[in-house]
Amino acid sequence: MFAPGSALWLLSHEMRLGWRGWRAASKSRGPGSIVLYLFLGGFLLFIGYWAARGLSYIEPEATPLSIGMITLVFLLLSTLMLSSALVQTTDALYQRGDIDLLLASPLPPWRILIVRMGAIAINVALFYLLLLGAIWVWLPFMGGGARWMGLAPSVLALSLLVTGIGLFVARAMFALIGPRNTRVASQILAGVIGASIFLAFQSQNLLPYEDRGRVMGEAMAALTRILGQPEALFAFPARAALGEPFELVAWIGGAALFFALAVWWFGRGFASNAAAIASLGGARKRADPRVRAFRQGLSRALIVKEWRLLIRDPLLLSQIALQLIYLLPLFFVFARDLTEDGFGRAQIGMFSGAFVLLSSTLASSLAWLTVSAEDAPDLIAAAPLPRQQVERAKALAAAAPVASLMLLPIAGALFIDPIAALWLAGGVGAAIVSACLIAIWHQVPGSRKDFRRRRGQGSFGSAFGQGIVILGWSAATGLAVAGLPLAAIIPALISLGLTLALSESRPKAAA
Amino acid sequence: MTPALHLRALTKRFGEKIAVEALDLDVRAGELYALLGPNGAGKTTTLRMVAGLLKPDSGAISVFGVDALADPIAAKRIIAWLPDEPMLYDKLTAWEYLEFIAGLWGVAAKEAHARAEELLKLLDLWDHRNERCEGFSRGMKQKTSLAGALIHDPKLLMLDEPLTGLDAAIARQVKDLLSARVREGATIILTTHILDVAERMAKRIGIIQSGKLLAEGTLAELRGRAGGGQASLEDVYLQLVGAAA
Repeated sequence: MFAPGSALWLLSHEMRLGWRGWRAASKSRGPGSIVLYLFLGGFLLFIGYWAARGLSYIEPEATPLSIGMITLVFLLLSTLMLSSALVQTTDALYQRGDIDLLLASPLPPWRILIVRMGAIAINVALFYLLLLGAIWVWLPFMGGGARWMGLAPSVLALSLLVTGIGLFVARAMFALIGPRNTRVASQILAGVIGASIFLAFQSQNLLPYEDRGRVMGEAMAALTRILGQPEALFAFPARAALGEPFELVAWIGGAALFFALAVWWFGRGFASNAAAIASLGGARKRADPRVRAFRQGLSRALIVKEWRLLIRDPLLLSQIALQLIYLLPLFFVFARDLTEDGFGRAQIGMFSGAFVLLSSTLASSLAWLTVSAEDAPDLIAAAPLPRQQVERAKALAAAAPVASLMLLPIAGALFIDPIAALWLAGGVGAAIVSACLIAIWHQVPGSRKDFRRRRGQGSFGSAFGQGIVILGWSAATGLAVAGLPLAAIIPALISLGLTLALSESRPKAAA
Repeated sequence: MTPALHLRALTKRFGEKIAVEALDLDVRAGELYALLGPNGAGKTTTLRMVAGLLKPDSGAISVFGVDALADPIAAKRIIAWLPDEPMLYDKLTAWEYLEFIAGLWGVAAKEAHARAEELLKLLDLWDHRNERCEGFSRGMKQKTSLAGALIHDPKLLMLDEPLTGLDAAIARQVKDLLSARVREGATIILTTHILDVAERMAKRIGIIQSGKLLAEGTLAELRGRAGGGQASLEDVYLQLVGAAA
């Protein structure tokens, strides 16, 4: 289609790799997936139609409120885009491993670099452009809609600017902390930014109902005061998005120029960056002269090994921590009710249920890592040990940190109500044991890298069953603590029954 | 004398494909036996079955008289298996790795400590003992893996392509270590595509193709089967494999 070696040919190669990577990560394949994508596309266009119709009635005026809102959205987008650009920059050079192949070819290095970085800018903006595109395609056909057509190009320009900033930051971080740490830091940053935005949107749940209107009003006033300044330089992107021609052209041109400058600057150090990245595997710390004595015991060996692997992987730890952060709004809701009503049994029950949910989720994640994501399965299989003994030790390695962590809320409950503490301890114990058993029975060999995608690797039945078991133990504990132990029997029996059913349905190889 | 390894009618199929077909093989105690064959001949599958990593469809495996199918745990205690790709944990140091392996094989801590020190010094890894394996070169990883395989002092050591990707100096270290182990009475089975190594190191050589043992014996015996003369192992191998194809 394109002349081999041309920039467009290279770009199509990048896009093909990106598409195949995405397809490989997605579980649905075949004709069914095409139908699914068509349905999703149609749904998106449907929503886009109504959004475009809504926009067509609104005059895109540069008022303090509109400028403030758009600037805030662009700021949020730019943080997400920046973390994504950083991850993709290191991945494009470090993880794909084809940079040597490309640089060894007779193609000019600047072309390789500009195409690769251009592909990053497109990838960074793709998700947002898809969402906006569904609205954008309708705009020319709506009376008044065309006035909003600056939105999508403005977002594309934002992605160019942010990718450019990402290149500057990446090069600085390579120099300061090295490429490997840059990648880990970028991934953690991406997760933290995503979680922060999620929590920010949930923050109103913390507020008592009667205060919400007032607080939101004050927040909007502050937003308008700080960001809603149409004449300020930082209002340029918002005004471009509102379709003001000069601002739009200047915004797109400026962003493209900045991106080109960043690519040029990054390209000057490209060879050394690539060399640093290529030598990642060889980076070593100074030898530690100590000789630590060996310690005895199979369970100890396995548990210590699992814990070492876990605490030495900051990315993995951050991903686990993020799972917990996403459960925080649940506690916000209960905390709000607590301040309104004091420590009633119902509130302690809700808290207890939430703690069981948290312990179960955490135990399930850790058990997947210890049981399924074994780095050297053949080594363990070749060892003179019964499989059950290994699995027990691995489950213990997953359960112990969670149980230790849960001692805190149990101790807190003990202070308030010893019976509640007893129920909570029972619920946490049952949830952790269930999570570990299901992880053993339905183990699917995987890699630690795939932690975030682990749910897609097992069967739907086991994932669904596990979800119900978690909720069941959580509800049973909540009800028991709230003073309804008889009502707790039903969810507890459901969880127990489902756990036993999952034992029966385990794959033969894992039995 | 009880053979170190005794295989009878060992068969393994993967779907329609027969990987190993009614294989009979005896390896004597204290010898270095080289198992040669083209890619896909069934060498690795055979060794994986002996190591207890694959269950055969039929046949018998005995390691120093221990029925490896009836009592795999007892067999695994005296076997070490070293695949071509080192089985390491990137985030563990070499020292922690050896401690872990010693724990898996139930080696007493004091004994394992002394052996780990000896092996790491022997393999020039002592100065790197507290470094994580993720920073190791291919050769260092292979040597760490070999040290792990030897930490429990196995009677039967099985190595799958142990010299692949190693530079001359490291390859020499590994060969010296293996020769020393054989002198001390250990039995070694290795697969390799480097025929010079098999020619120089192995007491007996087995050639396997399409899951069947094509020929077996000392180099002189194999030469005899290939028509005599002073042909190199490479010539003999190519002649036997070519004739069978």
